Amino acid sequence: MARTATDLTLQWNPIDCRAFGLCAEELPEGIVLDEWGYPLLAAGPIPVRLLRRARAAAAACPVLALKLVARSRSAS
Amino acid sequence: MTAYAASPMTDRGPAGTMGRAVPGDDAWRDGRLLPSSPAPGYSGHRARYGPLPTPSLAALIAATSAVSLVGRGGAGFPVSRKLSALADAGRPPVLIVNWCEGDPTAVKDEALAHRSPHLVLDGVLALAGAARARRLIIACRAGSATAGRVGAAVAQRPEAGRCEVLSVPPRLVASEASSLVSLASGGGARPLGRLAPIWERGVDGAPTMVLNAETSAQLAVLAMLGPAGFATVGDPGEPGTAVLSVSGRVARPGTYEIPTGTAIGIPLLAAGAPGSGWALVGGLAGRWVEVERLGRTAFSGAALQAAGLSRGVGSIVVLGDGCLLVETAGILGYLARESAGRCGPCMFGLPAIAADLAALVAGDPAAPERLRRRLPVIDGRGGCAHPDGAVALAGSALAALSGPLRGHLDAHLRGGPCGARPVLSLGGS
Amino acid sequence: MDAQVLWYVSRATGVVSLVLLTAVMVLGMATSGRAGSPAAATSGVAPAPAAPSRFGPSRFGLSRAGVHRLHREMSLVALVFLVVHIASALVDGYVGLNLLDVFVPFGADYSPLWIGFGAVAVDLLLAVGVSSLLRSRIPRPVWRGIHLTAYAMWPLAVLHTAFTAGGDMASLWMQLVVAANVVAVVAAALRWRRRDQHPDALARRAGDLRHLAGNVR
Repeated sequence: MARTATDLTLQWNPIDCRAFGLCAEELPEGIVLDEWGYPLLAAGPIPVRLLRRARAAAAACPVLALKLVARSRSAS
Repeated sequence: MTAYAASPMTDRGPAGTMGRAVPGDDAWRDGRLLPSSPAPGYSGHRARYGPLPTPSLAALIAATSAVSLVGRGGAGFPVSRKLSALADAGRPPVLIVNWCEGDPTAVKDEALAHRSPHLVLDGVLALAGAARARRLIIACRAGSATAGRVGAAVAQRPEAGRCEVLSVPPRLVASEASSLVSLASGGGARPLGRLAPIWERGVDGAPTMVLNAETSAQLAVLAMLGPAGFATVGDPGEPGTAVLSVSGRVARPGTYEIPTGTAIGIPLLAAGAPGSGWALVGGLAGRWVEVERLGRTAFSGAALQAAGLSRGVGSIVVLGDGCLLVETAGILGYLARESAGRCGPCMFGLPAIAADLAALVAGDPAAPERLRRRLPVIDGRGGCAHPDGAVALAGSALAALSGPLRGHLDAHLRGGPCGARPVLSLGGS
Repeated sequence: MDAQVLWYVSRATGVVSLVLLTAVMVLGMATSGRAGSPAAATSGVAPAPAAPSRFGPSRFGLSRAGVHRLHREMSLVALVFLVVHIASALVDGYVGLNLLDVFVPFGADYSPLWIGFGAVAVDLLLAVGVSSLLRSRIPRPVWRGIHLTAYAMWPLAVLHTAFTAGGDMASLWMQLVVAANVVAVVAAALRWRRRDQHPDALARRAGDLRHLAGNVR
């Protein structure tokens, strides 16, 4: 059976984030910006079909405030 | 209020002593943490409470777990789990006593500094011995009366050389746990974020535990009395005592030590609070509740939770004839000004909801809708729990105003400000 | 192989490398600010945008994220052209360069100063490239410090082009190409130099200031 969800999730660091907003351009299905320009992330694991673009969203952040992490690590 | 009779018990395991016999029950007949007559000086303290306990870390974990001791700083986290994390880390930890009284509605840190400074120090020193701590830091608000008293108490102790007294800037978020870690590591007193747990990497990269001053004192009492002696008072599910600050429109504001499970109406009566109106429970990040209902609620984690409340920093602000909306708007303005300015949801979210509440006071009919949209956007997204507390308070106010206080809200929406003056006088840095 | 061909290849790829590096510089400066980010257009209590599908003004018909990606990908293309430029010059042998001269400046037999500028530019470019590949593993201030050396790398590359391409510089088209590159980068740099007025930047600076005031009280 094909897996539809990865065991990865996006982890956002609000202190590092400078509201560049590039992440939301790379992954609009999973990230929208709040009224001040900071990302709101969709909850839960990243679906397999969006993994590539989730990686792009993390890579697009000029200040590395968005990371792709294993779900177990972010669950704490 | 209660006789704090203890049954001195001995539970001497191979790894250390726990609950050694104390010289007479006299020490516990009065308030446990806040005795009516403080022991004079360090020698008086030792004469009353006996030698500093030397429990093992394992014994402390077992004892805190047995009495379900939770932290008294606001988050209400089980102490046994914090201690287990230190044991699991397996490296010498850094211990920080948070004696900063960040929340302006609480005065218990000051009361402890006045009446039982050595009990607070006993707790963290016993833990420092058990966990083989590499640093022991006592954090106090710069220039406060508490800082002066704590400094003097530390100087009297034979362990004075082990204790570093850390002067914390007089700002609300400066006493947040990771802010203290940052300050103690040589940085600014501002939050570090919630992604790297301080119990794994805190001060200088060492596992770090931050204890509220009351928590430390409770730990000392527990180490002296043992779990059975500790549990002779209070709610069986969460035994012992708690220190409660009562302020606002009451005749006798102050701190009251009560056995857990005591109906909150009793300390309210002691403070001379009116029998109706609203009260804020748990501090500035707390919840609004009707005094009548609060009076019937027992002061324990479970009973408070069932009532939709939480212990928070152990404070109650009685509103009396004040206006809940005006009060909430004032507090949110203060919380917004007190932002550490490190993350977007706090820097922009708190001023926005503070402005929404101020607009609501002035009768803006669109304000409730803006608040309902903004609160979930801010909740949980800050670098520390500061914005979460503001969201909880605003949400609680909104619930009261769309429920029992619907009529008062409508009056605001029709006619603007109601003329009530704020009960809390909050400055801001 | 005909030695003339290699010499032409080297000269052509050299010019293309400069043009590509110029483009990378301009694209990098275009993404380094936040002028196009959604919150920059508004400030204070602005209404929430309803799930925006398009974020801010586009540049060159691309989204800001697209510009960012182009900046990274074009730098790799520039690197390929640079490798061909250097390799063909080495193999050609007309100017008698050795591998050391590519990385160690001012030791070349032919035009040591201008070839040396090229070598320094190569070193800086490698540092910028390698640090960017390792960006997630090195502290951001370190990465940023290295990345900013691109502003030294580029003028060196221009000087290297202008003064080693002696014969070609006599032609009008070559003069125009170099001039256009300089104009593009200077224009982008002037725009980039404008102080960041994004609300996030202002609030952060205010927060830092307030924090310092809290410490001295």
